[in-house]
Amino acid sequence: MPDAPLSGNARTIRLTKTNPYIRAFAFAVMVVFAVYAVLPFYWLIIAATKTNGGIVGSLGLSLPSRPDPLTNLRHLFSYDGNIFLQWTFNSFLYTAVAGAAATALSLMAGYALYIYRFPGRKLLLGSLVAVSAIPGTTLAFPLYFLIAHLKLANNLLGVFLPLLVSPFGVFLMWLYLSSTDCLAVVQAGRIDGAREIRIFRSLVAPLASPAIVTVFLLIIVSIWNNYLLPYLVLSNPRLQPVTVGLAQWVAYGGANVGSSHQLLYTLIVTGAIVFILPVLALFLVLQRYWRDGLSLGSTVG
Amino acid sequence: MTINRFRALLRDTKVAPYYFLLPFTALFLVFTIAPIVYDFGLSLFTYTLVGGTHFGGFANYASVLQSGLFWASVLRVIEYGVGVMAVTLACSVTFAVLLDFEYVRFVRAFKLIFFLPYAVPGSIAVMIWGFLLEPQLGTYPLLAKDAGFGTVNFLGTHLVLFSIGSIAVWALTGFNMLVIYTALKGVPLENIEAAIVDGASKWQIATRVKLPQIRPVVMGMGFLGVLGALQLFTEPSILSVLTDSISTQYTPAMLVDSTISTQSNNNYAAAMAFVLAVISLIFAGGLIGIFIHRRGGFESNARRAA
Repeated sequence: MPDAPLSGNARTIRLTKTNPYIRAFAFAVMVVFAVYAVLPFYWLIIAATKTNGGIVGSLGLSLPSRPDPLTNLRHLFSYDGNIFLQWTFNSFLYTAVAGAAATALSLMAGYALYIYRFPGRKLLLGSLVAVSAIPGTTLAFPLYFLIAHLKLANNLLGVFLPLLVSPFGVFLMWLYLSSTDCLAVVQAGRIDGAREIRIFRSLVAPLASPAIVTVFLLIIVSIWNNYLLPYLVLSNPRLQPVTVGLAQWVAYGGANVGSSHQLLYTLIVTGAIVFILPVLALFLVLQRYWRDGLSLGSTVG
Repeated sequence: MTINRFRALLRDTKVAPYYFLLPFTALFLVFTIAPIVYDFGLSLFTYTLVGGTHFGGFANYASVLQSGLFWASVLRVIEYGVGVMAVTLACSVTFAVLLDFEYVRFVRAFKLIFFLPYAVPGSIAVMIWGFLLEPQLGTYPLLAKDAGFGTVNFLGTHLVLFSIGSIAVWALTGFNMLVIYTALKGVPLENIEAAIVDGASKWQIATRVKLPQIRPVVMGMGFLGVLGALQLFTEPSILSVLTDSISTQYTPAMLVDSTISTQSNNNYAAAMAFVLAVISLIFAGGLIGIFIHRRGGFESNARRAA
């Protein structure tokens, strides 16, 4: 139900004319919020093109006299033994591998919960719903205790394995499959004598591809943005993702605004822009799938 | 076991569900259920600097529930959550209605611009805003000065919660607006046509026909937002390096974190984490209860929605 419904009726609705003053006022309100929304981006872009002296001299909105983003980028990636490059690599690794695996596991589990009736199904469904009601931050501390107990702190697996569990992903898969003719497809496959695993791979997976994309997007963005768990588990800088690493630069520089650590500020700003660009690009390119996720989200949540 | 026999087993629909569920369920048990159980176990032991660790029953819970610091932090985030969600939802409902009824043009551009902040992770957003709000050199204090407000310390004791809240409003409004906008578009056309036949104005259609129908969605988002606020950690934690107004016990999650890192009292921290999880569950349980009550069953509703 995304876009269309009202447009067919737009003409009839336009029959009642809106007062031009009200229109102007509404437009002004929207513009004010648009400025509020965009200003930090504008500042970020400007700040990232200023050389390190310039940023501290003016945290304002003035344009840089000599924009020099390339020098900043070079500094960013070479600083402290290429540590930012390592963080970026880590973020990509966690996101891509864990995201793909978590999506696959979600599809398998969501499919099984939808198609089969077996003992324990209700219990599993119930605990999935209950657990997805407890937000991640609250679960992160117990998870940290267990990971520390298992001696997985400062170990890639300690951050990686928990990321594979996405109850919400399972739930969305289940929801999506129930809106398709999945049952009929599976029955047809069985009549043709296909094995269950084959039915899943060559019939169900293609059928579920829109949901796969949506769930994959939701999961990778949440992993990309993840902060608390890696912050708790990984104290070795070389294992950290960008979010935690940049926050540590902020902490180093935080006590000394305007005096030392000028370089660090330019680096943080440049790093922030490098880090959010891929997500912004994903949002722009795959808007349709976000909308699907949104309408699912609005009906579930 | 021969290959054929193995295949026959796989084909058996009695075995297949476990085959598909095993990887997820195993990880779910180990990394979601087990931590909760382990956390509860930890919380039953008491740690003292002198006496070491020994079984203390519910002693930790007693002191958590009597801790002024704990409840102050819980109240602070609830206050914060209610404030943020009230502003966010008021803005996003207004914007969604304006866009839905084409009061303003450039619908796609506004949708995109308002949604952009949602793409910025909380940890990065707070860094950017930290620079913008920084008392001595930040953009907003400079703007406030130019506008004649004098010296405004957005990170001072009085304004800092408000400032964190305005970051959240910045991040959430566009997303919520899009969800509400999608819901508004989903209101059945018959209802609108009927209202038009009755001679209703745009404004009346919006407030009397459409908004009442999307009330559950808006309320649900409000509840979820407050539930999310209970978890507040990243923003104040990162911002605390720029200001003294944010203590290490500012929010419940920060309190847990500082109990671990500065006092290394994992047992007490585990009890606090458990109490927080229970509070979240009660909150969410209430929400789901309302939902089921309204729509006649969770499962049937989910089916209908999809």
